[in-house]
Amino acid sequence: MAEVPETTQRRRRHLRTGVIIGGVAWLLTGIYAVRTNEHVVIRRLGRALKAPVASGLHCCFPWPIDRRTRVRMDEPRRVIVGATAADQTVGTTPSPSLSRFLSGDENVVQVQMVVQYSVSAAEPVRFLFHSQDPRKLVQVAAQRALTNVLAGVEVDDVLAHEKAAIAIKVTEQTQVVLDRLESGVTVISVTIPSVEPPMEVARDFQDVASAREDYHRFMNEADAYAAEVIPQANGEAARLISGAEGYKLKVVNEAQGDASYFNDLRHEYARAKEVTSARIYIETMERLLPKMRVVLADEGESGAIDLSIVRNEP
Amino acid sequence: MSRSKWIRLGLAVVVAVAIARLFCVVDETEYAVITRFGAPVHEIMTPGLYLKAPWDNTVRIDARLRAYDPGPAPANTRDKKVLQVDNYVCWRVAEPKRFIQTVQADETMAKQRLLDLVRSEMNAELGKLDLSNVIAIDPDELMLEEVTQNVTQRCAKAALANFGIEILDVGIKRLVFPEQNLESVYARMRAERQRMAKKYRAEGQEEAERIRAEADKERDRILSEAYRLAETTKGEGEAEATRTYAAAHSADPGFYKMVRTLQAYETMFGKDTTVVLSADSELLRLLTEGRAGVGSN
Repeated sequence: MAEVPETTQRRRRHLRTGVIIGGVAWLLTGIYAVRTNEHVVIRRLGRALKAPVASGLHCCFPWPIDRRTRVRMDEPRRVIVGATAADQTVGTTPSPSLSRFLSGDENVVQVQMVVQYSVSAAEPVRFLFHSQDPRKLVQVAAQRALTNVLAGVEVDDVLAHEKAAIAIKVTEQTQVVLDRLESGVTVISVTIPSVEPPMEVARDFQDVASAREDYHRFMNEADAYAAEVIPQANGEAARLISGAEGYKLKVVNEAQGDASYFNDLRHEYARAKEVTSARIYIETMERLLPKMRVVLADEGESGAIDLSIVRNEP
Repeated sequence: MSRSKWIRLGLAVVVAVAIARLFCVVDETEYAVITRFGAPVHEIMTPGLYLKAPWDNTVRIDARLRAYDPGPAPANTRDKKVLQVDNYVCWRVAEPKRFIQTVQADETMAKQRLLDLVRSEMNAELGKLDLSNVIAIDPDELMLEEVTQNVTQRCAKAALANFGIEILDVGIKRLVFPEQNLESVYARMRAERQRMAKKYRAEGQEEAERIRAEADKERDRILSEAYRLAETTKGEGEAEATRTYAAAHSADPGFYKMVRTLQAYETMFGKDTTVVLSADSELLRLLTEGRAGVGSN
């Protein structure tokens, strides 16, 4: 080996540097950083290490002895039920055939549901390696829960006020299924942004709602009538009673007046009966007769009164 | 290069390949089956690094759980109602050897077998129930959960024995009436809604009538009580007036009669009245007979 050409020597030196650089680079594949909200799971020779690595700078065996998988822990993931992947924006008209569900009273309702889930805090290993597609597990579990819950409630409850209660039940049942499947998924929330009767019967459902409004309207109108009639009656009653009291006062006072007038008159009359009675009589006649048509009949001559002229003016 | 160098290089490659084939890394997500000349000899269920003979092959099988939803299919209930049932199966390989032997480790074939199994079990189970047990308001009637549990159990047993597959869950993703029945379902729903709307309106009117009638009754009560009170008051007034009059008048009834009669004349007679006065009436006697009568009466 005494005679080594210079070119060969240079080549060997280059090779050595290359090997060293390569080796260092290889070793460096074992150094990695973990961000605060993620975990890294290491598979050492295929076997996943139980404890996931939390944030910080870490090192492990270089590839391919150790293989690392990152997983975002806090990131909420979302699955939509009752819509195709294409129209996953909430609020868009759900595709009718996918969103149809049966309620307990054999009605068809169209439901859209949004499930938010995340990786269970202690189980990123399960989440990553236990199932092929955790998202699909969530999808079927949530849909199953929804079908199951809806199968036990009335359509009116679904459409009206029980939406929140249904969402809670769906959350619980979804979680139960996902736990049974050991999916490493925690359901954060289930929301039901849209529940509608099918388009074909929407008008009739609308009419029931307005009938319910009518029900209250009729009642309110009747209440308004009552509120008007009773005070009116009270007023009328007050008027009647006051009127009667007034009348009573009037007749009593008049009677007392008349009586005192009569008494006064009678006292005077008792003193001079003949004159007084004559005076009263004549004065009255004097007042009366000029107003009337008076016919004088002299019985002494004709013996009978000719009544032909005694006739009221028309 | 010389020939011996070629041979040395070839040997080195063979040795390297043989050494590489000694090891077998089984991942967390898979099982491995070691086959010797095509025949499975050994299954590896836990991940890690394993040694094997270099001439043995490894068949890797996905050990992960997966959800399979074949899409909706019709099913009949006992009372001959047709439902569109959308099943799903959550399954994974439990016995890799059997899985290879029965379905050739072919996922498509496995799915086909599972589909047949699950559909027949589900249809059998649903066929035992009336629709009113599949969906029901009354929780005692609702058997959906039992159905899926039974189907899961039955399918799990069959799948494990037949295909080395573990079924964790069989469920109904969606349950709805088939497309071609929807029109009649909608007609029924419509009729039901119309009945409800009518009922609400009728009940509203009934309630309203009741409120009105109640109000009318109250009004009548108030008014009649007021009338009673008013008439009583008036009567009292009249009575008192009468008493007052009687007390005054009975002091001299004759005088009262005269005064009152004359008063009555004043209101009874007016300008339309014609009186025929006899010439010898007291009033006119002076006119017709002169002063002769004065003083005598």
